[in-house]
Amino acid sequence: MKELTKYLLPFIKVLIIPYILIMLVFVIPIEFYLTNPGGLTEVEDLIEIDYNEDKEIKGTISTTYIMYIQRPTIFQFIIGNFSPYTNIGILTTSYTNTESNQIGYLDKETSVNAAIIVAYEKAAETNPEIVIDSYIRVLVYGKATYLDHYDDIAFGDEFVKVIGDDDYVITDISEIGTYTVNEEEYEWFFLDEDLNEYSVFLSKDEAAGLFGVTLKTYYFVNQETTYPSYTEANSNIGGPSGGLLQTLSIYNMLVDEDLTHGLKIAGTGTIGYDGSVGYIGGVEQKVVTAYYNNVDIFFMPNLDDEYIYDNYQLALQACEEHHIDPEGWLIPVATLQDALDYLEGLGNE
Amino acid sequence: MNKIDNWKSLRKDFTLDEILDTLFASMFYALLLFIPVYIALVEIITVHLYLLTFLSFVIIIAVFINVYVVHLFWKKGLKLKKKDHVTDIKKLFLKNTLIVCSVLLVIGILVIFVLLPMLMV
Repeated sequence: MKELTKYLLPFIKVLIIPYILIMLVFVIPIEFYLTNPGGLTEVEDLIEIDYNEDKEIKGTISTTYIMYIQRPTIFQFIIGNFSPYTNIGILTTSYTNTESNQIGYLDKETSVNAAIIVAYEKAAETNPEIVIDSYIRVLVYGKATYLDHYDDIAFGDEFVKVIGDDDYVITDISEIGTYTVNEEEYEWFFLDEDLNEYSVFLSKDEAAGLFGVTLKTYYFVNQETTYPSYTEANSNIGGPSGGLLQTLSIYNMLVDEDLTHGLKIAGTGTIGYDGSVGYIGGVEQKVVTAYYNNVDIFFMPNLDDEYIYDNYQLALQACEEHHIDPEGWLIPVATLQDALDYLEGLGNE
Repeated sequence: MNKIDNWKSLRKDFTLDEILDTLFASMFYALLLFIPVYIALVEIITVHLYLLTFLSFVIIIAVFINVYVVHLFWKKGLKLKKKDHVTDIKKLFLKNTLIVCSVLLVIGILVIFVLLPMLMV
């Protein structure tokens, strides 16, 4: 060690300052965000249904993910500037990277449940053997910076009740505003991720007039009373934008015919409990991802052609900008039924 | 004089402590040199994920160079310890570099084509 250190010492002396500076460029985060093209994930790798096991699915149905970098390092910011596909913006959220990941995971989990419910319901229309059962949970989806006990309440914790004015027990979130008027603070009850109940006293922010906790109602699959059963693999990718394609893939596993027709199908869009498709972010990066992965069909939410942020219109703009021909593979959809009609139409050609 | 290029001869020239001490020192300095390279490559991957397979091969090549530099420093360290050795260290370490790189190539290919697709669910 001594001999080598002595030999390298002159080099170390010269390089130590540039070395430290370079390392700082690699580790210092800045208050921006980057969105970059990502990849495709086959839904079959995420969800396995114990049904139609002999059925051969010739093509693939995949969700599309993009890389969202919150607070990139200086180096990531610089190379992002040189990439024609990277979208750079100033960060406006107050959430930490960990909190954003928790929200992404929550979105993913609730999206998968929605996809299963919608796909099973659709398949049950023609096959009475299929049974779907669900229950409602109200979960913490957002936290304002002024929220009391900010660190005690986690994203995904389940709302149980609030003790409102005159000790009225509020379990319906639509009643919270009506029955929390007279007191300074109110006792809220939640279930944490291990289903342990805890309570916290929350007061309204004077300026906003709100408690600072955002609650959202979700439907979850009751696996014990649902048929056929399914298993969900662990996932590293968060967000709700795979909902439509997850629904399509699950539906394809439940029905007898193969909707893929041997094609590489991908797309994006959230799924509503009524089968409606919702807008997503990162359209440009998703179009580029699809292009690089040579997909045959790419479903894109198209709800209003006049709306300037309509996903399909943005996708057409992205195709023009990057000299990609959208003809024949970029398919606008507003509902699950639109996507099913398109795929079923392919079989008739 | 014809030099010998095997480990037995190296063990005769140097004690085990000397060989290991130089090896750890060379690994330390080579890693110090390559840490920024690896961080840069990982950060490039996060921005250009659609080029994941290509960039993974770039990482494998960086690892090859890292292994080569470890052997270069190792050779230098041993030569600094003892000038009058009979082993052909250059030839011996070149063979060793090739063997280590071959093993790393197999591991790298397994990571690219097996592990990464499993992680990207």
